[in-house]
Amino acid sequence: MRLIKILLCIVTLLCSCGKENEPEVITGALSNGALVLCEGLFQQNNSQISFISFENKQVENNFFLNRNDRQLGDTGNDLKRYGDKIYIVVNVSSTIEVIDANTFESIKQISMMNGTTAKQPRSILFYDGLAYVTCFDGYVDIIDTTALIINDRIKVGSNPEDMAIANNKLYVTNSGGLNTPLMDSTVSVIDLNTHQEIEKIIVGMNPGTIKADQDGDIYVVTRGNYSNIPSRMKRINSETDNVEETFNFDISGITRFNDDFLVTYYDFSSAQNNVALFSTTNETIEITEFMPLNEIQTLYGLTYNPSKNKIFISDAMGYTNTGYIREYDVQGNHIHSYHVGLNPSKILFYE
Amino acid sequence: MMLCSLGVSELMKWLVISFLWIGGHCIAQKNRIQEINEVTITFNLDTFKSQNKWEALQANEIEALQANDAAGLIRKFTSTSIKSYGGIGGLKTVSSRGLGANHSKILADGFGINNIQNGQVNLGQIHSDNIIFIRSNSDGKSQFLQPISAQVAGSQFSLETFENNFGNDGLQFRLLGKQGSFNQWGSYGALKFTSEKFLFSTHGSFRRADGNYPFTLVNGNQTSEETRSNNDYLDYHFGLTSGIKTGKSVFRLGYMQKEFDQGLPGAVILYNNSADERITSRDQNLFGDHVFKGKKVSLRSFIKMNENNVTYTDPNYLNQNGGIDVSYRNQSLQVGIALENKLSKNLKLHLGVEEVISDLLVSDTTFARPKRYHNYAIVGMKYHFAKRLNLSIQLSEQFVNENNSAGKSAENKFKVNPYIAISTKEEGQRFGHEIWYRNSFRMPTFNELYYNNIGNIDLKPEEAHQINYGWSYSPRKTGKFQYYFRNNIYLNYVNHKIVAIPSKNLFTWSMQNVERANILGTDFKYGSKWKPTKYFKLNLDLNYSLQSARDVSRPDSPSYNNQIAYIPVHTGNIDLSLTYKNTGLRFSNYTNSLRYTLNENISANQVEGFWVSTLSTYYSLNLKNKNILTLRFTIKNLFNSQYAVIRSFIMPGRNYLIVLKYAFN
Repeated sequence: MRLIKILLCIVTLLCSCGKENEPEVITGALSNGALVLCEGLFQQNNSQISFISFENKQVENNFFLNRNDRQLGDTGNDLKRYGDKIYIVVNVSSTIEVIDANTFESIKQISMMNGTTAKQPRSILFYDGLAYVTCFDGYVDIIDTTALIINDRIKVGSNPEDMAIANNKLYVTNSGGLNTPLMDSTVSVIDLNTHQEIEKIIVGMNPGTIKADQDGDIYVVTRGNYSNIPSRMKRINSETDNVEETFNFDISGITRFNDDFLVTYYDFSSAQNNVALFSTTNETIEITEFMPLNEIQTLYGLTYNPSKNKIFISDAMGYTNTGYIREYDVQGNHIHSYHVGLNPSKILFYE
Repeated sequence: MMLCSLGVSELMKWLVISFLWIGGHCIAQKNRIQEINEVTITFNLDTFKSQNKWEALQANEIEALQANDAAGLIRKFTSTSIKSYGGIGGLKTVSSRGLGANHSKILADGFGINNIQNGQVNLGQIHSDNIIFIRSNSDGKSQFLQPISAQVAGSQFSLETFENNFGNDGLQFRLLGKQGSFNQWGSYGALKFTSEKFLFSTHGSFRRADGNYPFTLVNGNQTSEETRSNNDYLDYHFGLTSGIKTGKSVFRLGYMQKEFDQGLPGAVILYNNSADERITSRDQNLFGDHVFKGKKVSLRSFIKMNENNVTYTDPNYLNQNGGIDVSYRNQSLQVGIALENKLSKNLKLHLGVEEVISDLLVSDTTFARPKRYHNYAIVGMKYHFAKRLNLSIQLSEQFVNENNSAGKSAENKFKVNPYIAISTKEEGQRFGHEIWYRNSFRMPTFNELYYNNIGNIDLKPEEAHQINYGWSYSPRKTGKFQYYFRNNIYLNYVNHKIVAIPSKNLFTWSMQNVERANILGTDFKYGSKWKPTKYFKLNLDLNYSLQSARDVSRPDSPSYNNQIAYIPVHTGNIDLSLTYKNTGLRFSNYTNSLRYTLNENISANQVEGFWVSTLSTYYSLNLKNKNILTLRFTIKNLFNSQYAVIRSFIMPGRNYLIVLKYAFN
């Protein structure tokens, strides 16, 4: 019987392990820091927000949970601010969380369901009081940012991913990612006055990230099929809506860097990711290795903060370990690394 | 007919092997013949006496446990961990001693259950009502009657069913009906006739459930009451087996078909409860064997043909076709022969060969069209010396040839694996000791090799080295109180572990042989029975397993030396049963310590430990002429624990089951 007692004791002890509490690093209104969207992993309901305090160089993980008593959901995909509201696009949970930008308290959760089908929202962009949301079911939803209701849906191509605005037009990349290996190759052009699709531009297989520069040029990354069709950057003239140029490097992301771009690309010779400086004026890569990435294990995102003049790189640490936000100056010197949640991607700064 | 599509070369091979099969029998026939009482030797042993040698569950225990499926039985064995996605028929797999589920081989009535597409058997689809014996065997000892593919697997679990085991019992009949929570209904019926010469049995069963169980969803500091949806389940099984006994030989031939139709509830996703995926499948098996037992030579030859058709649909998948509707056809043919020859009083030699041919046809044309020829051979000997010592040495060979007619094929594989064991275990001894080493591997599955961009044809087999020391104690006297104690300590090393990792970005996952694992484990088992009077009996079984399974892939990784995802460090079972005349009561408990969803052992990745208990009671009415009527009432998850084995797959709370069984003979 003693054996049973011992066993019972062991088992009870093991089953009652408590959870560690995350320390609060900021109380009250948010300032001098950054919100980091950590995507988490599919079906684990572990997408979360980390708050980095630049003041005391500390991180508060589970920031959404701590301020709202509930979890963010499964696979957060985009994080942006418009006015006094923050919008978090949660892909697998199929929600848009609208948050007060000062208190980080929830204002509204917009459910992105179409009957029993999840619309799977991917990214969000704002224009003239309206929020445009790409939904993987082949639509762009329009949300009134005052009433916080969905006004309309615009039909686009298959599995729309990212958006950019130029010349009063919305450019939507139709990835067709769920049709592998026969993915989509188009960018939908939407008139922002009529909310009608004007045309579909053929750009190349599997378009993803899309950005506009100050001259009204649109740059789109066509990601190919991840094997024999390589990833490329294409330039669209928003006056003519023609693809004018293809840049022959294996690109994965574009980030605005003042008037230019920092582009991340895969260098086959070194089998490593690199960051290059791309001039939007000269339409060429000016510096092929803009900064060393010695500290980075898995480059998953890059954000430039103009007011701090600092570069922040999301390191996903092999995607199955909790990641880091690594801070660099524009000379590429590593300043500090912040330990955040699983698969950090988007960053939103507070002055 | 499934064989037709296997092609001419297979047919040739098949003929050659069949010839071998028949040829083997002709040789065997010439030997002098002895009496055979049973086709199988395993299930008829006294479990209590043999428990110090191996772990097993007998018919009465299996019935008392009232498990939904084979997973509910296998979790009672030491050093196992069951990955359960919940629900009747839901996916359940077993991993033994920290090795992945693909290292475990499941045998039913001496025939292997194969799934070459994903390499894992869904234990949730194996009924438990007809199981009369189940045994765990991780020590790699050559089991004479078993297929070579099972003998060389990292671990194995073999079960025996009522309808496929023959004694000399005349006419026997079983009829069972059950009703449980979540609108669960089930029935099982079997008719069996066995005599000195003939064997015949037929059986059928069905299970259905709405599966819409309520659960408490914990979301941060909030909780809500929810119901699992799209979790309905329906299956039918039926089979026919016949056999002849002549002299020292027994021939068996059987057919079994299983049909499944089930909704997949998927993970519980916060704020999104859409679930419309479905799986329907049909599994057909034709099997036959011949067992010959001579004075010196014993032999078993076996053949099994299997065709498995699965259709998967997801109408809500956001592709241009408006959903997924894909079907998979998996065929396999296994043929083999095993022979044991007693060369002298102290020396036995065993040999065996087996060929398994499998292919996969997927309606999605982008998938490969692979076919595999897997050849196994084994040679070993057992030597008894110095009065108490047994030495077993064995070498196994495997040759794998792959052929993908729709693209590149994986390279051929050839491997030789040793096994060595020294034991002192003998009947009648109080203490037994055993030490063994074995080396085994598991092949990459078709999905791992060929699945679209993820598959990698350069994958190497995943290797496992296992070393074990075990001892047992059972007192010699057999009084009113009997007990035994058994303990194993093992050290396993897994190399070239196959995992899916993102190679270039999160979109480009691929299968790689990158991980390594060290597993240090120990398990304890205590069993006792007390029978103070003729009518009263009390049984107590306890076991506890510790599996420290560490990720030792990369010293610079944050998860280095952390516990591997979903392997609990501690697992345990408590089983207490009381029997008085025709009435019984059983309390059964199963416990897992916390697990991690990923190899990084941080609180965010924790899945809480759990403790689930079952209470069951029965009453048997012995009617005239060997007619027995038994009524059982079971409360599962007695304390209504809200738990998940896999994160986001929440298990049912307290539920009930009533079973009425009629047995003749």
